[in-house]
Amino acid sequence: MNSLLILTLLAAGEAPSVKEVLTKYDAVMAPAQFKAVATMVAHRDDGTTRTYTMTILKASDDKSRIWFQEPAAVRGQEMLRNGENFWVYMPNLKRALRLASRDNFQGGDFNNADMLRANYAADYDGTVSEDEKKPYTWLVQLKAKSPDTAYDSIKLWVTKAPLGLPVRGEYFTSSGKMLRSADFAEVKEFSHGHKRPSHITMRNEIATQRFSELKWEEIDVSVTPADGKFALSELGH
Amino acid sequence: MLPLVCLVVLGDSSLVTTSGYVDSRTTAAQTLLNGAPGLTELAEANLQVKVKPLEQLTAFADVSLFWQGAWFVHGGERDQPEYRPSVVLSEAYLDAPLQDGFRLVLGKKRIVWGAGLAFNPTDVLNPPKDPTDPTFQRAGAWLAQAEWGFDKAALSLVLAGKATRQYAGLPTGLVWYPARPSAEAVRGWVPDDRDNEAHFAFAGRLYVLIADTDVNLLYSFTNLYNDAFADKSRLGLSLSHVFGSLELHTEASFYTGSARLEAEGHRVTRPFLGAEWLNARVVIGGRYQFNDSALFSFEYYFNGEGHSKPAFERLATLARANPTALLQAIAGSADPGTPQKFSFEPLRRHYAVLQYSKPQIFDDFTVSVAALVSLEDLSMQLVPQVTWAPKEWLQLTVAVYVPLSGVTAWGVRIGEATYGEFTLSATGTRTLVQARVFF
Repeated sequence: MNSLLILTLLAAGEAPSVKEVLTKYDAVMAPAQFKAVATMVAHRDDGTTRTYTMTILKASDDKSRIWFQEPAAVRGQEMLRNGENFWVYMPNLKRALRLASRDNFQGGDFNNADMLRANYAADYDGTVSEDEKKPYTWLVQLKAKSPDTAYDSIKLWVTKAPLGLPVRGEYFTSSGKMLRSADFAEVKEFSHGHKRPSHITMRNEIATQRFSELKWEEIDVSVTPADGKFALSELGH
Repeated sequence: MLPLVCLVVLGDSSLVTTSGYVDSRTTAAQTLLNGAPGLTELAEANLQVKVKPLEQLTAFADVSLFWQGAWFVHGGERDQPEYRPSVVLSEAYLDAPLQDGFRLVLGKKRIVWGAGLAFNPTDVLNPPKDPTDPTFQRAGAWLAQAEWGFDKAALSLVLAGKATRQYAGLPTGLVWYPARPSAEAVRGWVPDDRDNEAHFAFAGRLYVLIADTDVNLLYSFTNLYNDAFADKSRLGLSLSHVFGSLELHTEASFYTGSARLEAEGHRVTRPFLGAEWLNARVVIGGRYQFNDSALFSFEYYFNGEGHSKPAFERLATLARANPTALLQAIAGSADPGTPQKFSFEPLRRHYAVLQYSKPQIFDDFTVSVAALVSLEDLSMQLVPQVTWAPKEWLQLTVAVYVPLSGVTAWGVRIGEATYGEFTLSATGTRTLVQARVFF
């Protein structure tokens, strides 16, 4: 209780601008460039799970690529984002297909844009305010600038100190219906001092028995990926 | 070369990636014509190996062992050569990214550039695929490819040679036929199909990403490669764009003349091979994903190789009288590459392919329905299917292939009966039970 009070007092002050918060959030959740290994566990309605292991490579704000290693049924699949464009390479088709940013990611509860397009400072605008129920956080209410984003509106709670570490997110349609909610936990320091939540639980608010966990195992922010890695013609090679 | 590379690096597992599956497809069919089996089993063991001995060299192989059986043959049990065990080398190539943005590929590889799902009219390189399940076709072509790839553009040049003879999945004749006739031809079991021509294809593709649209411009030149055309140039265009949750695409191939078969009495000919009128094959379609992850895809296919109703009626009459001879003529030079669970040669001009799938209706059950419809008589192949993935490594499928005859007045009259395009085959309704184990 005492520590919460101290944290609250330390963090008290004028609300930062939404741009400042989102720039910090992006730096935490999607650094300009990185290579990472992550595992997603999708929990189904009946209690069964599906586990996906992947390597993620990101360069600049609009280029990302994912390689799937497990399970065997999707081994060799790849996903690519270049600007507003998303593709999935299907090894059984031996070709890439275009995807919509809001399509489900591997049938789980994240969508493609959650995984490949975390660039909130560019994609959203909104307001920052206090939340009496979570005094150590800022409540950031966001509206999408374009229909290509993952969600039409978002409520995001981020820590005041350090600024920008997400604690919870709620994601809505344009009609105000909540589609998903996320809890961000287990803040961990990865290589080169990069600190971020390593465990995200994304709950499906439509099919409420379903949720997906994303665990970040390794993140290396020191990589400098070659531009050629993000060419469509590279997929499958 | 490939086995040598594999042996050298076999000791270092970090350089080798393997995947594959074991698959069993059991089909029970209502037979209509002599020679059609009522029960077939197609068991496949597939192995895909990727070996990366050097930063700038990858070797890849995708090989399948097939065991096949056919029973309850209409008209009496007999040998069924197409159901013998076989080895299929779907892909085996060396991939050398020599510089950032430039690579060479050499070997057997499937390269598909067009945006079409069920049909790819611009694809002159690969064996034809099953339009009701495009994921089934894995076999590629023997080729050499040079590709320059950039952020939003790519240029690809491919030279492919036809495997004129192959045994156990490996070619013994490439581009030209061997000097000696095959053993089967010497014994008089099959006609001697040799000629002195070079059977090859050249294809060039320019890809650009413009206004968030995939644009492919294609040129190809083929000589007796996957069809009967000699010295044939084609131009192609493919576009794909996403609007929200809707993907729209088109793919078109333009050329002169036609390789279509025309029935003349008891024989078939290809009278339009040298014709100079403009011909086209065009696909227009899209995919839409709903909020519940259900997927709907649709395609319209204009087949410039298709027949008018009278010409189709003549061909169909011949097909009913001598289906084996006609099938051989249709198959001609196009080797399907792998045993087909549904093979389809479009003989009319207008088709629609509709597919709807809804995943996770309960646990990992996916229900889907595909319909391949001939729009000229509304006959169709309807394929309802249920797939269940009880484990991450196991997939079970039950599919029913139902041919429907469509509008009687628009069908073709042969003797006393009327047929739709999809009710002319040697089998009626078929049920497929499939189990696939991934590793």
